[in-house]
Amino acid sequence: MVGAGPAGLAAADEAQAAGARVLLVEERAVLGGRAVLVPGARGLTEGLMRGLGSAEVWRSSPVWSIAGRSIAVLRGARIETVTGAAVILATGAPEAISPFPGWTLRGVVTLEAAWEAVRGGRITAESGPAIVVARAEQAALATRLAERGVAVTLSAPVRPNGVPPAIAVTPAVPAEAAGTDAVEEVLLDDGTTQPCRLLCIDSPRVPALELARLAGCPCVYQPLLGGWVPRYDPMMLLHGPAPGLFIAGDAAGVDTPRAAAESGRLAARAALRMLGLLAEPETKLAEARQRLAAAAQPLRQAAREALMLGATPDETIEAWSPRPDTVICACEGVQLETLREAAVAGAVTPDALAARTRCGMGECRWRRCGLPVLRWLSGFRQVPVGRLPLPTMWPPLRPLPAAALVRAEHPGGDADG
Amino acid sequence: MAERGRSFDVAVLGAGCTGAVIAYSLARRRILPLVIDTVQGHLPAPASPVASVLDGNTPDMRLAIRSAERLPDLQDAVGPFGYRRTGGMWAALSDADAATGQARADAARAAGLPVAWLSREETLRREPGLSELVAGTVYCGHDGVADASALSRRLLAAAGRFGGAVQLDCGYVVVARQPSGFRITAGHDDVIARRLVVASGALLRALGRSLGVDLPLRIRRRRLCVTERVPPALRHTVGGIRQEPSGAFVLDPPPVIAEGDPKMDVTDEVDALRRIVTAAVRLVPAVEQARLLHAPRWTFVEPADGRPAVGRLDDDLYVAIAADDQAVTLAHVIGETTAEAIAKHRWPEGLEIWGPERFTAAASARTSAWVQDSTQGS
Repeated sequence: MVGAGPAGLAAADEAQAAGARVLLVEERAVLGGRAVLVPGARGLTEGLMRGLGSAEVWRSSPVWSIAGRSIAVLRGARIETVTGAAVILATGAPEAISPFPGWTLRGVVTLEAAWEAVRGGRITAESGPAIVVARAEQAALATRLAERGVAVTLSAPVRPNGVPPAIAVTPAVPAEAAGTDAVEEVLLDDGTTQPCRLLCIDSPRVPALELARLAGCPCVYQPLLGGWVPRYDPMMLLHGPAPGLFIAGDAAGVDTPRAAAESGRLAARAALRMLGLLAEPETKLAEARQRLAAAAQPLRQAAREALMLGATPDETIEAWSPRPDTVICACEGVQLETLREAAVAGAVTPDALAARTRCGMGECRWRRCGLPVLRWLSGFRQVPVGRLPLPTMWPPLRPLPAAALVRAEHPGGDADG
Repeated sequence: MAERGRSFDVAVLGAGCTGAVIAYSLARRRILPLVIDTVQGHLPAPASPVASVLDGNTPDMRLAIRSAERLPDLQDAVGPFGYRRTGGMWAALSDADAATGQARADAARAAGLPVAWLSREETLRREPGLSELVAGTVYCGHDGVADASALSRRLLAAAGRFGGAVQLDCGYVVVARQPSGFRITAGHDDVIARRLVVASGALLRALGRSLGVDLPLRIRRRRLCVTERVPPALRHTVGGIRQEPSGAFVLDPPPVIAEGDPKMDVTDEVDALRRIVTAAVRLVPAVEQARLLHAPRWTFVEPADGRPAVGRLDDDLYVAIAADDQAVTLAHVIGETTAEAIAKHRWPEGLEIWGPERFTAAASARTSAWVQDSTQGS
């Protein structure tokens, strides 16, 4: 299992209950994935973590390449390669800020990052003043920040229930963040300017599909599921060159944490059946599918079902075009204007833009700028987003210390940890 | 964009460096070219050394350096394409290597090339970032880097100003030989060209196959490794390692001959990266401090002996392929040569070293039907 969010944890739980040898690889130091953000989902992941039992867990271990059913993992300072009889990709869907002027300044963060800072005790009164842009169910972040002494303004259409009166609520939304290095003030779309050191933005979650794409799986655009998702069958088996590659959780389409967990269980059962570890009556695939359908949001479930049946990509032509000086690629500091110039000169695919402007060639490797570039390109070319070519993926998908590669050249030095 | 049924003097298949420079050279001679490529822009091949002094034989070196000398002029004529002279070093890491390197440098000097052998002390004085292991280097001041895709873009734009046409991203190309010339169907277009220049290895392969011809080509696999930005440590290109102005190291090992499809196993990948990075660290210790950000790989087709091929299969059909390592380096000379041949209906003197004989001889041995057909037409 790659990824220890609800899907990966549930899949691990299911697989080891059936007697499979399980390895759970997680990029972060903590397990649970992004489900910690959603009220009520923490109990779900904590329950799953208690049931991990004999499964081997590698934390802080990003997967940086995949070929067939074998993956390359950066584990501490070492590189490990692992081949699974079945591999379940549960890489989740990180939040991605939609670029606006000043979004790359220090202090402009996703809600997820803000929650992490809150939980890690890194928020003090000096962290503020803060502006939180959030839907009602995420307004708790504003409350938590205020509890830590931060002056908070909540940007929401109406004051959500339970928000203490100490928190100012404005219907205006940030249009621009300004500052030299870190954010100092925020210009709201009602024309007012507010001092701000922490701007927390509720951002759409985008399925992380680098591994599936590197493995050679075809992808299809479905905005209801968060963007591009790989094609998979009703048993979560990925279409593509390698048999035995499954997908689960938000990586297969953004949904509720419970649906992620159920899709993990479904993928695990399908994998177990494939491996012959679970005989037909016990697999209960139909039941697992029903449970997934019950846990999922109806519209998203319908989109997923349509996708499995081979639905054609969404045909929306986007008209998203921020201010020309907006930085689109944060790693390489590429502005929209630069992209436009390159596109006018003929670079109208992500790869061509990368070759010309270095957009997407930095540390994050299209993770932040991929969807914005394609959305903008859609409007520029008047081509549906779903018909545009995706950027080519190259390993390493995560920055790989050269020292780790060199050290791995001399095996036998230190024993396996 | 080319219109349906329009006719051109020359069609150039392939919009890489070689195709673009041919188009530019033709357009300057008032011969109307149409450049066709199946893709829109090529994969990020950000730069390639312009004068590879140790690979290949001496005459290639001379041409490479001649071409490198002209690149600044070309940059003045068509606009910047990122050409800069960096100097290139081939490093010896052992006394045995040093002896070989010294002999090569001597031979190159005897052939009149601006190449020198630098002792260990002199090497480390010029390149303090190199490993203490270095035993000396062969140095050529003419080495440099350029942005290959920018070069082809600039050249195509310049060719367009003379009246040439460009048709990229057409997905597929079908060529049929007719009495009136070559009928080329590319995407939505259908044009007639009197002469055809094949300047794309991949297309040449497909074209040869469609005509039942086995051309002497081979597939090679190439992989670059690019690191994050690190403080400047390297001024020259040393043994395939260079540092971009931004600070990123580019590790550019020589391509390998492809052996079948890559296996469905990630260990191959890890081993390949390990070999490249280990070799790089041995030469430039600073590489070990950097993190690898991407390692694009791609395959390409080149003449079976790895040397550039410029040839005339008959009066109207030309072939021009620079080996991938030397695309930027030799494009200039290859393009001028081919354009000259087309303009004057004869092969220019003085290029017998890698001129038409080698390629046409190899090809014609197996292409009698193809060549016969065309001679009947002419």
